[in-house]
Amino acid sequence: MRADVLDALARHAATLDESGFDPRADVSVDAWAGLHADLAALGLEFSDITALDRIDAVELVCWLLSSPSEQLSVRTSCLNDRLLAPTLSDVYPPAEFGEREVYDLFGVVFEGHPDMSRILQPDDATTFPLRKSFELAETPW
Amino acid sequence: MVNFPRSEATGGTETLLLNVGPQHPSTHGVLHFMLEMAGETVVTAKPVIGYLHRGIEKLAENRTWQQVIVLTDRQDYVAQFSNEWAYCRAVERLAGIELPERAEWLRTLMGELNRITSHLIWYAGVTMDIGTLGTPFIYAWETRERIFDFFEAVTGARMMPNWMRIGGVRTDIDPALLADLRTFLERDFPKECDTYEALLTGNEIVVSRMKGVGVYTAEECVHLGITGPFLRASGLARDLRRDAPYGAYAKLDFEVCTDPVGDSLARCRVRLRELRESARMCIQLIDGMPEGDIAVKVPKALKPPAGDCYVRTESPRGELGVFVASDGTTRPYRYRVRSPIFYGLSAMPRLLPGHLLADMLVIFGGIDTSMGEIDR
Repeated sequence: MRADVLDALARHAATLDESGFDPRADVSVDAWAGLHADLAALGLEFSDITALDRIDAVELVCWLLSSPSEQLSVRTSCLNDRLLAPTLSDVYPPAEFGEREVYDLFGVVFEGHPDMSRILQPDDATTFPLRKSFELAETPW
Repeated sequence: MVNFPRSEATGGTETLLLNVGPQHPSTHGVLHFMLEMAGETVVTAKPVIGYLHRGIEKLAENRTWQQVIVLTDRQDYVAQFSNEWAYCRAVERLAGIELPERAEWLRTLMGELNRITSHLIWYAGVTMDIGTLGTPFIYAWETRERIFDFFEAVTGARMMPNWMRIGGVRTDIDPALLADLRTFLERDFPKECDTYEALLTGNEIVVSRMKGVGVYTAEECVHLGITGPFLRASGLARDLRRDAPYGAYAKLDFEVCTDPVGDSLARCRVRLRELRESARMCIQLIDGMPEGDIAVKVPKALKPPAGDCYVRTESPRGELGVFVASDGTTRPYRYRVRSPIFYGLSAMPRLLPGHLLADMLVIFGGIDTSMGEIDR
């Protein structure tokens, strides 16, 4: 891990875990946008933003590239009663679509996003299907 | 910062909302563009997607790890092997499964042939978009069908092979089939590539439609999340097959095709060169194919340890990422696909304004869409 990236992570009080397949850094929602702005300024590239359902919370997972072959994930957690996070679309333009998808499928609202609308489901959809509480029911024949 | 082309056409001019698609011959599936037009010039462009959303990521959570492979074929029906491969690699990484060498080589061979068939579909599509009315289209289709014959002989299916398995591949390839394929790739395929080049980059009308249209720098492309041939056509040699080799790529001699110009014609040249480069790689793979097992034994009720991992591969369209999470059971907890074209499309509202409607279709053709992969 590069020293300047470590510095940025420490500045935003991120906990770094390098025991898994790739390094992962966990931050609070409040530090989410600031940390990403710093990492982008260090030249890290956006690869993907997605989420994991943790039942009582939604974990946001953002994959960044520190070089073409090295990746790390930066994560934060939003509790179910406050599914809100600051947008990264002003730092990484492709996150605009990625965040719309997280909203569409998990229900996390991104503050400051230019167009927080449904993307894969129809505009009038009311469900967030990738939450575990959304069950796939069998259709009777 | 990066400067994007901005339209000067709005000054006092009345604009018009133009819907391109969802049923339109140039949108390659069911993609809908809402364009705000000032005369013939695009002022704003908004892609509307989701018409082909099948909920594959949710369906995967209700199947066993092995049963997901059949969904990955349908996810991107133009690059089936690339999608199977990305998923299998992610699960193998998570479960700590090592593959026999022959399995890696067989996968690489099919992956590269798949790149050829996928680029041929792009070729057929982009030539139709600019109004060549079918001749190059049918030529590309014929070559693609010959490779599909090989797919069918190996896997039993032309388009939905369901051939890779966690831990290897399902069937071995007969040496006689490999010899036939080698003859085709060495003797016939370069001549067919000559024809494609003559019809596209050697055609005066096509060149005048594409040259200098949609020039983007590598810096812009990286900033906007564009990967794959589109990025390489802007002069940046970025290719996971070389940068983070997987399969048998580390043992192959190949060139990362780039072009310094960055316009629509450059994107055509890069893909046409990749056709030849992939064929050259396939010949090396056939010649160097190691003997041995084609798969390791993996329990049917596979339970990867709890955790998650992310794997990126170079699909014909760019960087295809697969993120899988396990909770230690027989079913994936989460299956996520980072589609290269999903993010490629997200760049379109920034790339298209200021261009003519006819040019917009040419630029958009340069990202090589496959709606199945975007909508999943």
